Amino acid sequence: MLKSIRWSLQLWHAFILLLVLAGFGTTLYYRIQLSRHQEIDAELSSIAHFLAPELHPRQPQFQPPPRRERPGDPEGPPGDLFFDDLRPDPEPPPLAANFPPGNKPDQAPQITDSLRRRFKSEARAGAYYVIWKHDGTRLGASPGAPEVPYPGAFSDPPPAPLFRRRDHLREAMVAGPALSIVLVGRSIEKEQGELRQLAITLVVTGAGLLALGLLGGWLLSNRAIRPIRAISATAGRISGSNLSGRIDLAGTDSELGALARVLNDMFGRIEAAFDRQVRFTADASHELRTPLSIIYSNTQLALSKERTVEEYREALATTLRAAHRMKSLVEGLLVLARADAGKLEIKPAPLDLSAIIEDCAELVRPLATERKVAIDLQLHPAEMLGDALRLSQLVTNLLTNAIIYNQPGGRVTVTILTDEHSIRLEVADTGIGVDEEQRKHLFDRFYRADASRSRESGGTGLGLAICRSIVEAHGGEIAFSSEIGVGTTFKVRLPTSVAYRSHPTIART
Amino acid sequence: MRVLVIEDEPDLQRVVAQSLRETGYAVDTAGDGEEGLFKATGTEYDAIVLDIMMPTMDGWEMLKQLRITRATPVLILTAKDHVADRVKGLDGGADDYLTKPFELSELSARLRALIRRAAGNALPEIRIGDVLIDTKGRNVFKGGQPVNVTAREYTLLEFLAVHRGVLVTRTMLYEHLFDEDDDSLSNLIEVHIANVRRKLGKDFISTRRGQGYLIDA
Repeated sequence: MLKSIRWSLQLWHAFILLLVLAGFGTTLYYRIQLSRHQEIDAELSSIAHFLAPELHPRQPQFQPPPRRERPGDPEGPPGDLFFDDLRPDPEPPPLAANFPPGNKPDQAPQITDSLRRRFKSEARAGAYYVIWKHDGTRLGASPGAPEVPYPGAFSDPPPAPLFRRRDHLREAMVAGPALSIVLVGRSIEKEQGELRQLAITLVVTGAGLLALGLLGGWLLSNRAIRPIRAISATAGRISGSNLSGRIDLAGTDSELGALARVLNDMFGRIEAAFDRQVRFTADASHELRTPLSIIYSNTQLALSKERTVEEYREALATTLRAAHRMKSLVEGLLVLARADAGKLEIKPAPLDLSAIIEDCAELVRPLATERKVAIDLQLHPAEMLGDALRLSQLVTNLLTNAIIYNQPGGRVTVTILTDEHSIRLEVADTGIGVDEEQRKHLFDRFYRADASRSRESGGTGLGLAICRSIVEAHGGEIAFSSEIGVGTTFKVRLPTSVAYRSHPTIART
Repeated sequence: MRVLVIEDEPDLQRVVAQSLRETGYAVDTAGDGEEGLFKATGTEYDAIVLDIMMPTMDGWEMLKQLRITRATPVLILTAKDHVADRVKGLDGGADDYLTKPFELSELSARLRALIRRAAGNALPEIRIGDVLIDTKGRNVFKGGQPVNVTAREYTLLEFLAVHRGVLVTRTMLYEHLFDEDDDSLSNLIEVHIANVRRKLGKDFISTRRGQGYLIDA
């Protein structure tokens, strides 16, 4: 299941979605928490700052630094006023600077009424203050202040308020006159509750969004996978017995459409190859049936009653002819079957092609004489690596064709041309030529340009198909040119020594 | 009975023709579809044996052309053995289908059945009065006793018996009893008629002077 694209998509989708949602929620939560804490801290420290100067009524009032006067920024033009207001306040000066010089610890601070009044007016309900002298003596606290442990003396007035948290209490400490400690605190239970609520809301919403996202992803992946399923279902239906199925291309303009088209093309090619194979088998069976029925019927007829010696002799001759034809057919089919399987064995050995041609010419000379066709050899030594037996078969087939499809008084010319890497063999006849329709089928199996001519010489219709297999197994090429009434020339190019390749050709019939 | 064998394979054509001749048929041959069509439309054959894969004109086309003018029974004899081919052949107007390789006796029996059915006979035996003609064994009985007839006399008798009740002209006898190469006995029909009458009774075959011969049904 985890190997399915759909599931792996879904898992990745879930993982990424979870990451995004968690990241977003966590960031949001901590930003809000931070902002709440800053608000509380600002509130507490501002009260502390109000209280600290009140500890010494004889000292001049604390003067907050003037808001608008900043170094390098004197009175701006009036038009700038609005923007000026929006600018952040400058850093407050260090705490110690808020007190006039000469502030010394021995000038004992005391809790004044104005401090109490000030606290009452500034602080919200639940807030409290505790004030210690620099030696840790508790100077006083607001009514209802909880038990607050002494935080320890300041050695120097801290530049910024110090904060601490005790359970649900938040406290700010600043230095008062004579290094006294002013602590202002309040409960932050309400804010903590709000943050918990926020956290719960975020988790619940996040889970909902995740579920929604996963569902959407599932539907999307389903949509994306559906054409793939359709393709594999169609491909699954296509089998040896039924190759006609094709993938429906409707509504597949996407990348999958391209895949479907490629597959359809491939099915087409397979079907064509399969059809060729089926036709080849049917043709082969048909070709074998004919000589077989001659043998069968002829023997039956001969044995049906007493016959003369002459009649028996004729029956045997007929049978022999048919058997010979079957033998050629079976041998030819075997060669082609091996070539189709890429197993046409070529046993390369150094040889002289011209010598092979001379031998083959001797072999077909009786046929040539019978047909009154002259054989003209224009040869010179042509050394190459090749299979002598197969090459003899090739040359014999080409010569036989050239003689059969010739006319009385005609001529067959065999020429060898050599260059550095290859030998070109040309077999030209002065025969009837090949017409447009025949050209297409010349190398087809069981194709005979003229059945009666072919049959008279024991032709199987496989000759040129075999020639091509032999040439291709040698890594060469075969082609022909022809002109009606003038003649046909077969041209074979054979490499002299290249690596021998065998052709896993799909049946060409 | 005269049949035409259309087959492009010379050896097979010769064997089939000889076998049918030895069975008592008059046999003509053709080596391709065009020649076959020419002969089949020019002569009234009792049956045609037709190959399919032939040069110039294949069997399908030849059959199509033939059916325009003639209803001669056609037996397709071919190496194509697919059901589709058989169906195509039978639907194309053929009357029977036999695949190569085949038994000569089967070919002969199928031809006999085709000819018999074309003439409207269901059985291979024809009974006329006390005369029984067994077309399967090519024997003739009168009153239960075998009658010795020659091959020529038998073919003449069989043709008249198959067409009993119908006036058979001398031309018809020439056309159906002798093949194209056979002219030696054409003027001897009267001799054979006389011989049959002598063996089966004078009134068995009646003569319509100037018209032809008749066996009453």
